[in-house]
Amino acid sequence: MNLGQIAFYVLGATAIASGIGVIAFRNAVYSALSLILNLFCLALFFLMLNAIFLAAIQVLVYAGAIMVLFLFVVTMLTPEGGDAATVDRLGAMQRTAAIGLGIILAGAFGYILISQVRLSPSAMATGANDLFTVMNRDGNTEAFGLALFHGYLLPFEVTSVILVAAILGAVVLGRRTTSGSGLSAGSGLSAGSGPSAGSGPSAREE
Amino acid sequence: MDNTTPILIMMGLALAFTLLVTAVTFILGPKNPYAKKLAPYECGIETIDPPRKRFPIKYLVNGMLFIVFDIEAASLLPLAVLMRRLGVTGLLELVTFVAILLIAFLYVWRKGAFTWD
Amino acid sequence: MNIGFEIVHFVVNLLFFILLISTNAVIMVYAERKVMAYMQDRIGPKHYGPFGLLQSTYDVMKLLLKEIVRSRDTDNSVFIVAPMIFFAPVLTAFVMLPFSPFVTQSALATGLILYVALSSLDVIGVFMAGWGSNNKYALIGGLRSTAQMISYELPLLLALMGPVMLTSFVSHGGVGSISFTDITHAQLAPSWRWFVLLQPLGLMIYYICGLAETNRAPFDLPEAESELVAGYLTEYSGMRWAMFFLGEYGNMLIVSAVATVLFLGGWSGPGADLAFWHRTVTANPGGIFSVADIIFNVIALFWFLVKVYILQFIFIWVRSTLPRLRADQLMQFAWLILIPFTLANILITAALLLAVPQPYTLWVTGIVNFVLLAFFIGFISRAIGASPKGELPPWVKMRQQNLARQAAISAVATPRLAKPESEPEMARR
Repeated sequence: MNLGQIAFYVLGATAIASGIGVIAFRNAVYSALSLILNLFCLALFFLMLNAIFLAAIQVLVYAGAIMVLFLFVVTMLTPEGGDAATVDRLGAMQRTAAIGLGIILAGAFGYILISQVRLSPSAMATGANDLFTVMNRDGNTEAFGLALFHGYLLPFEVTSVILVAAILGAVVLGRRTTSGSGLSAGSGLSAGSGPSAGSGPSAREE
Repeated sequence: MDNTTPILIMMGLALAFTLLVTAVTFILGPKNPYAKKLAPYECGIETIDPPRKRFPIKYLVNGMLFIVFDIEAASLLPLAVLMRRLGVTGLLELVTFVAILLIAFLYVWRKGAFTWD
Repeated sequence: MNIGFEIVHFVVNLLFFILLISTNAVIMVYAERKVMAYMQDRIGPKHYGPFGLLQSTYDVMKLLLKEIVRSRDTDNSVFIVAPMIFFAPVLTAFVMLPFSPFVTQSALATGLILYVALSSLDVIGVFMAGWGSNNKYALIGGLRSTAQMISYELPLLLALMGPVMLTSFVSHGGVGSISFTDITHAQLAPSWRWFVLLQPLGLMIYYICGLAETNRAPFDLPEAESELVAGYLTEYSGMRWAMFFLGEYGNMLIVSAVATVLFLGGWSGPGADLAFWHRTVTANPGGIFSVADIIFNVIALFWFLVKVYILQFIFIWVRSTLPRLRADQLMQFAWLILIPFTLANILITAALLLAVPQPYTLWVTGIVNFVLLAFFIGFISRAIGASPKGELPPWVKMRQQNLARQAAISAVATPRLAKPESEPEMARR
């Protein structure tokens, strides 16, 4: 067993442990932190596959940006337990859905393992076949950029539209109706409270 | 040695370094805890309220916008690398991409997402 | 390259990094106190050693001998792990920086983006410190710091786009690079093509974002003593606190080093010329390492560190000059000034580089960028001069003014039409 394999198994164990941590912890902040560890392990997997650019983006966007938002949201939740009735009502439905999806996922993984489907080496790390040579010659970023801006230009530009939709969603969700002044006064939207502010007891002012 | 291994080694060493230094102070330093010393800091008075209540985050919308613009910036980087090879096409792609996001940016600004009270 | 050389190389570099990050903190603490003292017409530390030189060494020893205090309410695991999460990315980022041709551990092809990714991991450490302390000041400070760091990460990343674009135009193949080593080499060819001459606005914005990323004045809100005690560091003491401290000074060093690599030509400088030393000093043909190599590397390292410490001096200078920003000003500065300017900078630079014909390309780009820089400075000084709370975008203000004017006109006009002119007459009587 060489060094790479040892690293792979250590990372794999960490990733699985942190993945279990995400769902096992009662404390939401612990769950979020486990998820960060999990995403970081995923980035290290990318690193081991020589997809360094992807690894960096993984850390930057997931561990850096999305998880910070998660942590923001988690601090706004009630710290202990939460609303027991809501949890129970959602519980049965969620559990059923989770079991169903889990079986599908396990089936997919099992199929891959049994049927020995292999990715062709040219699809490694970039996802586009003719880019393997570019990756070897110029590096990750160039191959990534060529795929993005040459091969998949339209999807890329559509992505920007999706991002715009995300921004609008953020604004709508983040809106807090302040008493009195409307939007024209410029204070209609305050970055103060999140989606959870509408339900439950009102958030304590800082 | 390839280029990624030192990064992993360094990460491990950094963790080891912090552990080592903390261990050194643990051995060298005095150990004299008492109730007053272990009380959480509150400007000299007793803490009357646990801090972990529901806490309004003033920067939630910024957190959301950050994700969007982070993805934008990260995907502009390969474009910058290939700027010369892609030429005018690349410039048009850049302008389109930035313009679409700029519209959203102006809309959000207009809605007052960058205003705090 | 044999394996022995690799190991020696690795060990030397590693020792260099660890020594640099710890001595840098000691030097910078002393320098900061002394420089700020002289700027404020004081003397500063003077009791221990000549000119108080041993002051910060004693400080370190004191920190090592302090008791580890962990307050009663802390969230143990989060509280203990937070300093490591904060410190590890800082030390890791050193691996990618080319201090000199020899002191470069990893000539990674994606150094730039990995550096940004690592610096975004720091945010997690700060949040964990704030949340794990279970203290109001720490929590508020941690959240503020988190918001600040993510807001300034965007213009930081966007400001780095300029040099990357330049590498693509400078290189012969038309493909740029985000490897720190390649970017350094792109500025070497004719020795004075440092990117600061082509992208001064990029350097300015990057440096401002660096100030905010490292939580330095005037962006040191998370540690605003007058409101938040010590921010997310409130419950930390002794060596755990020192880890944050080391990480912060290490961050300053990295910000300066990255600015040096991207804008100030890395290790280039007078005398840092390998071919010259090979010609003058007799090269050692047997070993891998010749005398010329050693001289060259020492000079290169010297120039790199000189540039880094000049930039770090500016950190101190700014701290003793500028007052602290208000929280809303801080966020508005990132979102409403820095991000639009960086985006404009990227678009203008790209357009100029593509449009202007070959011999003049870099000249025109550089000059336009200097004009942009002047505009930026003027804009900031106006914006700082008058920035009331809750600033609205200019066109909204204009529309509101128009509406107000129309309302005033109609208010003036309506009474004249509707009401009889008896009121003033009544008043006169």
